[in-house]
Amino acid sequence: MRIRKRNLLALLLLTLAVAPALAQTKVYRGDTVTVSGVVKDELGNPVAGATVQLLDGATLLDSTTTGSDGSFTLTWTVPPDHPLGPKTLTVYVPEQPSLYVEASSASVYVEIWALAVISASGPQRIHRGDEVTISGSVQGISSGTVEVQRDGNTIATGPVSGGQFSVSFTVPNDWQKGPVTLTVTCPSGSYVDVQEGQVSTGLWVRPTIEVTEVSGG
Amino acid sequence: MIPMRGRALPLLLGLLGPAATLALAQAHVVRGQALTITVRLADENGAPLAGVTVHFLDETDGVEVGAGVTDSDGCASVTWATSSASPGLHSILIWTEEGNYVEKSQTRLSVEVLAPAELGLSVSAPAAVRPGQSFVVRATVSNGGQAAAQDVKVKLGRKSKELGDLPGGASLTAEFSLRAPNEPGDYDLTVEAVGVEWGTGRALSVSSRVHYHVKTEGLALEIRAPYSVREGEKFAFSVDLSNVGEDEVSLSISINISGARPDHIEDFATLNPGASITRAYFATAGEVSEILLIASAEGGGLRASDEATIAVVPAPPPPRPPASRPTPTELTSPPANLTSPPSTSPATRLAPPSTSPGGHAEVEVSVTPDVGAGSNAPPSLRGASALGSGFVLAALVILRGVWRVEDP
Repeated sequence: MRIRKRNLLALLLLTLAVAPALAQTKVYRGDTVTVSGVVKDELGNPVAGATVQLLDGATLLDSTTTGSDGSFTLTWTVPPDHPLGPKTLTVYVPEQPSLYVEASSASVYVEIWALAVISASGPQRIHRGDEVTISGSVQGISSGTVEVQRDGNTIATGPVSGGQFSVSFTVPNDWQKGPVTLTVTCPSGSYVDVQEGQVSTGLWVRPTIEVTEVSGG
Repeated sequence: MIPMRGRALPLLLGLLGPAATLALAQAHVVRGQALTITVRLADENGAPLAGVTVHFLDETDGVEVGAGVTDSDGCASVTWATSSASPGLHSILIWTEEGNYVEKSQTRLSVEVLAPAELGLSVSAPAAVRPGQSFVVRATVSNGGQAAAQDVKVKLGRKSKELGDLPGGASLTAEFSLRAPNEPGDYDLTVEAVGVEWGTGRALSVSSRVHYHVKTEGLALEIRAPYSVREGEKFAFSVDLSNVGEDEVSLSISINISGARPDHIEDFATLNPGASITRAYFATAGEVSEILLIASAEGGGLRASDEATIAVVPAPPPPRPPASRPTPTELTSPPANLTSPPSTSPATRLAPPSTSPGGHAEVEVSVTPDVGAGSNAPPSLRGASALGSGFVLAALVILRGVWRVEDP
């Protein structure tokens, strides 16, 4: 049996008597999980025309019929609000008297993850002492917190509300003039991956001109 | 370092906005003096900003003064030759372009370009003074420029007066007390004012000549009096006054008479320059052997005096009644002794003053003949003449021959 998340394929060998367990597969909300496999008899001969179902508990997620070579493909798209965490799906071949096939099943283990994709923006120039606001959106989670970091150091944090955030901070006086890259991320959590956002800006200094000497000769 | 006005005005620097720094400062420079302006660029933390181009623009004349790049200390300088700058207050815009994570910024410096100091000298002195007179020469030094003149001194001969600093447009006056020479004539004085121009140290000098005249002055007094008079005789004498100076003088005339009445006479006279007058007076001789006249005139700082003596001869015995009334010619003729030679004093040996062209010379002469007989003679004398006029006439002829009596 093969499980494919997008381009990821996992092979599921299904026999009528044995359903081998596979390692947990990481899938993100919104991903489409593809389960492929072959239905064979005890002798290893493919079973054609058999009905194969993908079940979430008692819920039928997908159903198909094996081909002449006994192969099948089932798919399921993880809903965006699906609870995060491990999940067991069942590939089920119901009893089919016309084919003289007994019922059989195999389990597919997946982990449902969320991918937080952060888009952020900020001013082109910042100055020491400025109150700077970094705002943006987070796709994949609707709530939580974001952190604004520079060189791995957290400068400010702020809440995510409705997938949006706005975080302000005061530019420290010890930052040197030059390019500044700010990273916006989310704190690491269970079954959540983060695609960080970046804001490229520059720290400009405001010079003072002091007339130090006016001398005549 | 050019001092600020009053040497107490500091550079005033202030932040005016997030993108601009406006510094207000004011300096002064004398036109033509090279002015070096140095600025320091620093960030918000005071750290120097190196490698930034700083431009200097004379906004008043619209002339780019120059540009400089800040060094590792954040300093940049330009030198402004002010020879072509217009006099007055100039606003120098000092600005930086943005780049290399340095925002643009600007400041302004006010520079007053002063017109060079220009000393002027005005000297006043009396046009004419009397010999030896003390007088004051006033030297007024003015500064027609804008730059101050420092350590200003005024020199007159060996005398010198310190006037100190003379700001532009100001003037100061020094006074010198002098004494005129004793010799009349025309004299010149040279007054010199010197100083140093503020800012440049340029030597300043100006001089002026002033002319004054020492006047000729003098007063002459001469008594003219008879050599002799008789006791009790009313006689005339005169005082000649001459003003040989260049000024009109008002004189108080004082005559002291010893041995005659009155014993003192006061009078006044005003004489124009070069004028002479004669004043005549009368006195009656006393019973003395000699009359002393002392006359003096004083005024306008001048004084002259003279004295003369008059011999007094005894009075003749009472005359007999005249045989006939004297002729009018005899009665009005002046006393013979009034036309006598002048006295022996030096003043009297001067030639008689000529009448001035202005006609101010005065000659006051009044003569009263001292006749013992006439129409006013006592009636007793008039009766005797009726009885023996022939005798009397004969006696007079005899007495005249014996006593040598002169005709009155």
